[in-house]
Amino acid sequence: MIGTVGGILLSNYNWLGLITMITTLLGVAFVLSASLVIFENPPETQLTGNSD
Amino acid sequence: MSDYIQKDTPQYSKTILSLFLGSVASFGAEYCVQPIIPLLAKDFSLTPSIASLAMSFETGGMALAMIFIAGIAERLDRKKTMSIALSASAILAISIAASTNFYLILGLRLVQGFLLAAVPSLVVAYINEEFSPDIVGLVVGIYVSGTTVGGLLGRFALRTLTDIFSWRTGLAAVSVAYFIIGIWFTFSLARSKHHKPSYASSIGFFRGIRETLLNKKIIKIYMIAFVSSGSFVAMYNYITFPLIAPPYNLTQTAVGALFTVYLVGTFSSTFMGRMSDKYGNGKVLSLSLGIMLVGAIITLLPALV
Repeated sequence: MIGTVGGILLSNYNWLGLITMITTLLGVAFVLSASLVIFENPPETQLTGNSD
Repeated sequence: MSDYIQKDTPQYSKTILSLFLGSVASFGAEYCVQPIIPLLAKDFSLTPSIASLAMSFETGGMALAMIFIAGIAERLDRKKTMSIALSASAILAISIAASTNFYLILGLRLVQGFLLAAVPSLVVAYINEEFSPDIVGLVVGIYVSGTTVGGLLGRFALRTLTDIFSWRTGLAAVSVAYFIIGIWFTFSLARSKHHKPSYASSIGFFRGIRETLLNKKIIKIYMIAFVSSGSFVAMYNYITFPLIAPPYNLTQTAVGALFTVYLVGTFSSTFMGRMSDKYGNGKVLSLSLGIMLVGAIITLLPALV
């Protein structure tokens, strides 16, 4: 599906159009994977205000 | 002592080899018609887009079967299901080589896709259940490197045999090799120790699918896979167009050499698997996506080197 949209972008616009789509999608994937990092590494300690 | 498969044991080597060859055979069978699409078009008097349905039907069958597998995964015996899928899909590939009707080939490819879907989904489950948790990433990486070798080797062998003999002889020969691997896989892979197919505890087919689709973490992983593999395929499908056009004017051979970059994946998948064991899946995934992102942006530079 992404390949088909990419083909349309390339034929109607140019390589910049295709790369804009790819970088946007990879940016979304990057944000999603970053949220998985938070999920798999929950903070072990909570800030309590204690100085120690 | 833990009965999980540990690194540097005879069982580890044997199981790794089985999984690696299993992935070579499953990906080889999956892509077995891709190099011969122009020949299918010629033999059956088809347009290129209709001939390429031979690939699309297999992918479609695989996508449909993946949904079913999500609902019944707990009921499936890992080893038995993967063994049947590998051997039966190889037999179907031999049937394709003998088929004189293109619509029959499409039907066979659809069934092949249904069968082959069981391999990647259950291999990952098998690895998670049977291997020591601290080496799961490494083992998944080795499995993924097998898929790149299978894809490349299958296409290369078929292309060479087709050049020497015919596409039917070439396809039959590689399919017999996949069948032999399937039989060997059946006898060499150890049975699951930590998973028993369960009907009693099964939560039901539709509920299984529903629960999978409602799991936010799984949905995120599905979306990452959808977006990253889609972007990867789009990039490789279309990068030839600007490279053969001015100002680069590269030859087809020079552009074809670009696909040897695939081999980087053979080594990087194992390396990244090891890194994910050490640093966590999410971090390594973020790093890999960051590298892809930078790589895509670099293609906008006018200089070729």
